[in-house]
Amino acid sequence: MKCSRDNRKAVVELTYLGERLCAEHFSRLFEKRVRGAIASSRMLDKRDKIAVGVSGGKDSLVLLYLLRIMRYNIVAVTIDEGIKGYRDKSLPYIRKFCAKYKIPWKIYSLKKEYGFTLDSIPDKKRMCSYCGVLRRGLLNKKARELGCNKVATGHNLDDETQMILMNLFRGELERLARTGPVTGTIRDELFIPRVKPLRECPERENVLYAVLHKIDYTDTECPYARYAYRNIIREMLNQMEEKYPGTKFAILKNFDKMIPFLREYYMPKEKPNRCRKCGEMARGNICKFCETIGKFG
Amino acid sequence: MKILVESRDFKTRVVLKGNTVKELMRQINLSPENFVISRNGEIVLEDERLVDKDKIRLFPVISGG
Repeated sequence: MKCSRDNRKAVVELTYLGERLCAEHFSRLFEKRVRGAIASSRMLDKRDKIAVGVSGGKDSLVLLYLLRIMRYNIVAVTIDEGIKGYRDKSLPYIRKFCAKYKIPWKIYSLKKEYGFTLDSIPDKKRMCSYCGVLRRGLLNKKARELGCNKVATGHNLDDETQMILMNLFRGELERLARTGPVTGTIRDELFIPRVKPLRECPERENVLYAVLHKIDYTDTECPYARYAYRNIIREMLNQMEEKYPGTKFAILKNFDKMIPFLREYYMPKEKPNRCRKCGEMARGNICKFCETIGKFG
Repeated sequence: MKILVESRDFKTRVVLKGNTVKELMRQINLSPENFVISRNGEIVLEDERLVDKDKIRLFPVISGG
């Protein structure tokens, strides 16, 4: 099968575009899409110092690779949650990648910082939720210590559309208001905005881009992922996409149109509280991060 | 024809009854949708015809956390 744009051999069929593309045209489209997402949502600026959350998987290494070739000022940051057989396996991939592309790399472990690992938490069913709070919290704190003014993560189109539906199904509209291409409803000196430059890239295309560009990543799955509600949503979305190509893009684009309304509606009327323990923004007296640390630390 | 198939979790030799990637995937009960597939190091689509001793590598789409 030939590329729809030239005579070279196609490496991908993009049903939502009705096109087959060769390696070169696919890479160009992929990079253009990422540049477009960064520009249209004003995610990043060349003056920014960006902490890139890196797990060693395809998404975060593709993101790191692209921000490197786009010449942003980046530092790779890894949070080691202490998941045996998963995180320890991914670290050599990050080390090798950062050495190859001369990217500074910082690693922070939950064990060293707070004295416990994710493996030691008994409630396995809520693991993804604890892990999310801990990783986001620690990444924010460390990015600030490193003098960064943005945090970039490798969330892809599949992650984003799953997150949108999960929050809709659970009635978490206020939480949805805080998401989007640049997170947060309010600006606060302690909060580092998080951006997601790959949010318009389907997961499958991240794999393809990584393979074509010889990005060596770990494809080990997190052992706790099987507990996630997300899996049910993922399956449903993939079935919809197969039957109605373009569904995921439509969900994301329409959600993006709703963000300004959600943010206006849920914009806090008063200044946020400060966490009594760490001083970060909090809804009550203690922030979610410190609450979780307090439970297990 | 004999095809070597490798992925994250396995490495196996398959005696292929058909002659395309699609037929190979059907024979080993895997959905092509869930993988990016290479043949002898080059990315291929499902309709690619295979020849004896080809090496197929499957890159799972879903990975990570």
